[in-house]
Amino acid sequence: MNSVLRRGYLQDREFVYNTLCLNANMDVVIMGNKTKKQGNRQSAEDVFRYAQKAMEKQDFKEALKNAKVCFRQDPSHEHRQILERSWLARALQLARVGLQVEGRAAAQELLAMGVSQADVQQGLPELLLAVGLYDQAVTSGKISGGAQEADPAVLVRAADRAVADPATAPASLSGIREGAATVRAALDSLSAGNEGAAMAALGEVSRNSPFAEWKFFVRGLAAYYQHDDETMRANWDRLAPDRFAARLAAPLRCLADPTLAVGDRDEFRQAVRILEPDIFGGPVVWYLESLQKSLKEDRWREAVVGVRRWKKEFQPKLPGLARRLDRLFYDLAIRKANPDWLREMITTLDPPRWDPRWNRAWAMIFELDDGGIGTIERRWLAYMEDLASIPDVRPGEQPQAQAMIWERLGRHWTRETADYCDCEECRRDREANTSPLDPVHLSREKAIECFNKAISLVPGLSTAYHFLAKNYVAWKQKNAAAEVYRRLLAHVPDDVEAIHFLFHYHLERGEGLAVRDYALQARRLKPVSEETLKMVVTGHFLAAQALALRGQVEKARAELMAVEAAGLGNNHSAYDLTVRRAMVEFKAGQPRAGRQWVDQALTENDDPADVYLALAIETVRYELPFELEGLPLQFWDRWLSSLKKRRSRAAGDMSRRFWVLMQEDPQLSGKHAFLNDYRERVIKYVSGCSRTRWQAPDLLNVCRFLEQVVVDRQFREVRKPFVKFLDIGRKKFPQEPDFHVMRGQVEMRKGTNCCDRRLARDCFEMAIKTAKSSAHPKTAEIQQLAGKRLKQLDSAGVENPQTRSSQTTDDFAAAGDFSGMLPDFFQGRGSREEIIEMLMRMTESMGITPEEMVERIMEEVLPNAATNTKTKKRK
Amino acid sequence: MVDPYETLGISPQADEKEIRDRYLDLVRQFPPDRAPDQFASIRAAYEQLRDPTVRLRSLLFGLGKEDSLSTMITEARNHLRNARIPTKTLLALAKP
Repeated sequence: MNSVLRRGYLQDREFVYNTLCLNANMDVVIMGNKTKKQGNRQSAEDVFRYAQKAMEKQDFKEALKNAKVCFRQDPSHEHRQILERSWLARALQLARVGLQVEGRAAAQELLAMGVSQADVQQGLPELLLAVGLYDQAVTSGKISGGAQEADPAVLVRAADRAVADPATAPASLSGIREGAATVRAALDSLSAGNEGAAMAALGEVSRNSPFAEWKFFVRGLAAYYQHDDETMRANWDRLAPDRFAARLAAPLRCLADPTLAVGDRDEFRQAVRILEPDIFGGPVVWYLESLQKSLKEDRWREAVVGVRRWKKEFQPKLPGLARRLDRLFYDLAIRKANPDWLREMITTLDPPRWDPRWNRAWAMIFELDDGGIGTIERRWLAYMEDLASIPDVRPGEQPQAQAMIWERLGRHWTRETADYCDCEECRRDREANTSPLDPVHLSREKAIECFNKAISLVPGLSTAYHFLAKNYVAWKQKNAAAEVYRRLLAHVPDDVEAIHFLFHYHLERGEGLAVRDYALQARRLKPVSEETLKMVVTGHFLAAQALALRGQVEKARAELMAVEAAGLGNNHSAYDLTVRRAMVEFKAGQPRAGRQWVDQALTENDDPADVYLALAIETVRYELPFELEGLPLQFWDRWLSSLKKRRSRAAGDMSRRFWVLMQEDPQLSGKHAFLNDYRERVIKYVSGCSRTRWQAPDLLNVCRFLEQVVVDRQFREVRKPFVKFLDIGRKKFPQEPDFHVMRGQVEMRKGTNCCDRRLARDCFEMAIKTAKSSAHPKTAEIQQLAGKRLKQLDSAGVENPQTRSSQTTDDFAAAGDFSGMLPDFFQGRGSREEIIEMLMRMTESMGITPEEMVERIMEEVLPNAATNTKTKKRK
Repeated sequence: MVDPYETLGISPQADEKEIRDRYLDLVRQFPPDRAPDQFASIRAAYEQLRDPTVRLRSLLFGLGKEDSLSTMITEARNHLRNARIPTKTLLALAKP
């Protein structure tokens, strides 16, 4: 305060001159560049003027000093007047800044001199209250006292002072001490959480009482504690701004306003500083806000140093917050992948308990910052050594922790292998030159080594097996992957993913017994799953076939019995089982029994076409000899003759059969290759069914089948009937969401620029609408797909290249939308590698080769695009 | 992300049984119907520690996802806001 006052008058050169003359008794005064010899005594009038000026500037200390001098030189009425005023002002000033003793001394001098001025007399009670001389002045008759005689403003001041410090309550003002005690009791009750007692305590305070204001404050405070901000504001808004209660309420209002930062207001900062030691044991909020500010302004070093200083003082008091700050700063440095930040932390802070030599932090920063596999590996291996000294890793967990690190390193080495081209040509080259120094070979070896180390440390670490097996699959080494999964199942028999992989692995190879075993394992884990039931049926059918081929017909019969017990699920009809029973009997040398089963199968379906198709197919699978009563040829002939007339049921059943088959093997290759001829005939049959009277399930089966087929270039002519069937389906069976979705998908495959967007939009909107109201098992799936496509259409509708580029290539690929990708090709936005990678992903998701993809782009999209605009044509 | 050990009030060396026992103690103290907020934080902390593999993986490779200075400030301010202020401290708020 003094320094503030001093700063004010130092700016006034004349005042400096005057002060120096008076205070220092100097003979030489410096004034500008000149030095003058002057007498040390000034006229009373001059000093009086200086005192007046000081009073105007509220420099009461200086005013009092000058007033004393001028009064000593000339004790006139005017000089006495200014002396009394400056004395009163100075004493009040001292009392307000907390200098009670000095203020009291000044007041005593004023009283000793006597007060002659009316305005000074009026201000005297407040001063005497402030310095604790009120009672003394009343007793000695210096002021008129008593609660009745006192000015109401004085009573209010006395009341506020008494609440803040009951010891200052003057005895001569009756009721003040009691009133203050009541208010404090109410505040104590609130502090203890007893709102009722607080209100009751203040109930008797009258409206005219000097303590009436405190009722509002206490009510507001009760509302503050109850988070009732409206009531709080309503009460505190009634407080007079110059009252003590209003000054108390101001910082609490700030605290109740979450939008206000501590640094925004002085009173808030002050209040938080007072509250925090009581509540937290140290500064927290303002400190965190200053840290936040440093980070926002990118002053990392300052923030880190701030953390160190704060921790030094307050870590023992607030260990939880110290740990959180450690973690936060540690994670921030890693997330930013900023080595400089980490270096700053290393030099300033102690290492955290989970990373005693900062190796983990370095490893993770290098991982994010592409620091090179060698550096990353070195840091993780060093961290592995640190594990023993980390208290959070229990002694029994050391091997598991090490295994997890090896697994992570294995994943890094796997990523290294992905950096090299893995196209067919490069792969062939690599296989031809199996140099041990080949980088891909080396990285793969390292990855395998890391995963195996992890597995050897913790044989049940299933994630390591999965990563390793997936690598083998990606490297086209399915046998090795199967071996890894077998090892996993030896340790973790309930791993569903491993069981599914091995089921499909053996299914591809036609190893019926193994397929059945894994299907049964899957059923043990998920007994009610529809997917598992399909696996079990397939497994038993294949096992029956394998056993029948080995001549173990009894066991084959048992397998088929097991299918009967398990149920056939949605993918198979009753006659699928009967047909196989017939086959087993034929293999068992029981043609009569076989024929009976054949007859039964024919009765199990209204339309014989699919039964004959099943018989013809199974005849091949069960390797029935042609000599066997000419049965194989008979089934084939009967099937062909059943195809003469187009029927909804026949088309639907046969389509379903191939749809199920192609879900397992879309290309019908390997052991399914013989089915290609059958499929072509079925396609030809269904394509000619345009005038058939369709049943909804049959048409749906046909469309699903054709949807699978149409992506194959050799069946491109199917597209026309496929679209026609979809249109028939939408028209005749509008309640079926599948027709709408499939039609929309077909339209989208033309590309978002070339397709009929209105039609596509109608289809997807209709699909969502019908899916919501239907009992379709895949309602959610259909809605999700249709919603996604609508979004694609929306973004494509706005001719904004940025909007289009925000879509992922996978989105376009999934919709078969090549035109969406084309701008990138033409405008050269993507690098060659990016374009190749994108093509690979698209072809993979569509199940076609890259050559076919390029051909399709050239054939389908470019001519359409070229006719649209001249610009596109030029491109 | 608040330290789960701190939330449960156990040391990092605590074994699975200790973690579970402490969790059950706290759930008895703060049942979900009476103290949903406390229960949620206790449950979240327990979820982080109950499975040794998840706990270890998070310890070795995890980065705190939820913590930030803003969160800490909000929590601290809420703490200040919810605290009952002793009369002496309250009256000190208006002192110069």
